[in-house]
Amino acid sequence: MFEPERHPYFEPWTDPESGVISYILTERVAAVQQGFYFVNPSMSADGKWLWFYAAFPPAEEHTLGVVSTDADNPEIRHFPRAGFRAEAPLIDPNSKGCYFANRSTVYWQPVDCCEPTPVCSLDPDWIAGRYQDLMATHITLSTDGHTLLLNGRIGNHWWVGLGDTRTGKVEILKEFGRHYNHAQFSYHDPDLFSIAEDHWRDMTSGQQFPFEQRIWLMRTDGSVFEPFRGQDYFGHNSNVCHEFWSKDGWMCWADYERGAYEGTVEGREANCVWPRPVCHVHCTSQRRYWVADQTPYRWDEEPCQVLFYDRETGKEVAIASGLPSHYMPRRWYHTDPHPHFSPDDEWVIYTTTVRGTFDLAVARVSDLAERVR
Amino acid sequence: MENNLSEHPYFVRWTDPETGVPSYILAERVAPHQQSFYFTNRSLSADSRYLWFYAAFPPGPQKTLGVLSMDSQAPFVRHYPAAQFDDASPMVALVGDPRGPGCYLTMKNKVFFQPLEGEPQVVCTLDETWINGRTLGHLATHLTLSADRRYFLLDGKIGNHWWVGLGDTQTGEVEVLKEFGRNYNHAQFSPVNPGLFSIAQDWWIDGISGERFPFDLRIWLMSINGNLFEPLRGGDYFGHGTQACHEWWADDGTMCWTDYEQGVFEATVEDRTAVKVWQGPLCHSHCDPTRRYYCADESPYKWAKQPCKVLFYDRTIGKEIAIASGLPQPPYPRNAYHIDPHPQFSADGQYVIYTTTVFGKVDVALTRVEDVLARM
Repeated sequence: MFEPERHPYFEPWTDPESGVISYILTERVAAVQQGFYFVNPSMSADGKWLWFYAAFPPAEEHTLGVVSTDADNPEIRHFPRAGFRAEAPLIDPNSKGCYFANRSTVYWQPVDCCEPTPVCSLDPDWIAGRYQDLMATHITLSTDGHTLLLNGRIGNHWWVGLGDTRTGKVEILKEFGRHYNHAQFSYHDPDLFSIAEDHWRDMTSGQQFPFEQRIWLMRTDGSVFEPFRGQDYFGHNSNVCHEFWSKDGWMCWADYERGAYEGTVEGREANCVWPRPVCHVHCTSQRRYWVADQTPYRWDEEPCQVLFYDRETGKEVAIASGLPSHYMPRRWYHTDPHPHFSPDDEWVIYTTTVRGTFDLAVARVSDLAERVR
Repeated sequence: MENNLSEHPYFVRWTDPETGVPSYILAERVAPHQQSFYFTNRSLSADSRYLWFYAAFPPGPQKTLGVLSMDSQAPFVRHYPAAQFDDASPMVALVGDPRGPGCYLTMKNKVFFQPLEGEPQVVCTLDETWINGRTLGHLATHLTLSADRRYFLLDGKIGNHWWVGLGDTQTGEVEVLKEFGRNYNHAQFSPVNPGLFSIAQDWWIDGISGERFPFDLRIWLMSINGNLFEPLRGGDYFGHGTQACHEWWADDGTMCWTDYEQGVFEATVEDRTAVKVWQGPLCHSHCDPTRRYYCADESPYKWAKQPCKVLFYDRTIGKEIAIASGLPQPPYPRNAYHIDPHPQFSADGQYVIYTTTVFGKVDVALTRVEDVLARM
């Protein structure tokens, strides 16, 4: 059981406005220690390990770090060999390691060993010398545990594919003439995944292109490729972004202006759950409790908040009512708070700047729930 | 300072089994992969106090800097994880550098200075407005400084083309001198003429199509005022009678290069006559400040078929000897980190520094020139 109050590597921090207590990982292996991008939890399924991104500014690359949640056996490790770009890491559901990717290969970093092992690789003949970037925005695993969903860029276009953990091969499902990324397997339907349209800069001209329909659905057998809600035209009648799958198979997303939403694959509803401006949102398995940051996109103008919300009571509380901006541009490491729930729904994990550095923080859900009762 | 390799606690002596030439391998580790600099840029500071090296953590793709104190009485080794550089950009600060001892490197669109202690400091920056969201490759193949120490010479890729420019050490600004529709890289300031530099044509793979294009005339000369851009020797058509490649400036301003098959050549900027120095085949070569002694590797390009040698040559007597007569293949593909031995002379001509694989890892090695000469 994680007891950060007793853990020697964590220090409590109390939000001055709300009184909510967070516990910040203060033992360091790197100058930047950052929670995972919100779609992939930082905490292992067994609750024994908290993984984080470790970086050494101004060096560009992230590496992996992990801390034991056992207050009686505290341990923190850095894996300098586990270097990656983007937000790729995914903790293995067996809790014994973490997937990450660099160059054209996905690796698996064991929690108890320094050497990562290759899992699957793009075929060099398919790459054929072209500019190749990114193997996954964030790796997700099929419900049967054998297939990794990957997406990346090759030359001046984009692709999505499947990495087979048993054969080591990557199958390209589809190539795109515009930018699609953030591919995520459904937790509920083994063949279904979402993939996001995103803006992009043409690598040769530098011209910027916007996206239109953010959330798309695809099937691994190629039978589906369609916008989740064709009527949601980004920047015209919606600001739909930052989507994720709830554990029970709902598509959830943030509309920057309107709030957190959810809808089923069958009904394609857009139920507004939390009507307020939000940037990144996440929810518990039963979709009762939600967290959000608001907003790292305006950090230069105003402090960023990390918020907690109970949809049943309609009340919210600030986990962090004003994270200060940082001397480092946030885009260097995509240092947004990205709050998210642990797999057991017991913890909110986020990245904080209250100590003047980028640090991993956790807050107890039961404490938060009490405050919004 | 006691600069005695045989007494330095961080080095292990290794003797070539065929020639008996001793090398001293840096056995103290800050990373599983420790590699000497690309041969055009010296690993050892000119005062021989600090040995800088590339440090990497396979399969992590990035290289970072490490440094060793050569003082056997006060040894230390340090790793700088924040100094994560592109390509072979690092350049050890010259003696008398106003920033003190340290090493320059490039990351993203900036040149940084990594001091012996502390964090990397920004030296100059390529304007974001000029980049304009295009994909930016490296900022320098390997940094060099103008003979008057005013400018860094930079070369890189932007979008799907290439450029060369100057980084002003005083203002921090980068001026793009010229853009190219084909790959030019390996730009190097002349050590004697502050307005002159060489730049290399190189092959490239089109990032979008994957089509591979060869280079034609390897070595070009340019001046910073824009009035010169010409091949050193217009008749050397690569792959059509010559294989001129891997050029460098000797300390006296002579242009030197390796023809993969024919060997090492040199020519002055003034008359461009190619003088053959050392019969090939050879891959990367380098010379001491007098241009009497040369070293080379032969050949990491053939590593899959045969061990790679590191060779030493005395042009006056026409004899060569192996510093390492058979380096085994590296434990991972050489392309991943450009793992070639890249032997080079120190600024004082007293050492040959190279990357060795004799311990089954990638390591930095030094050989004393006097030990080599004693066996010739």
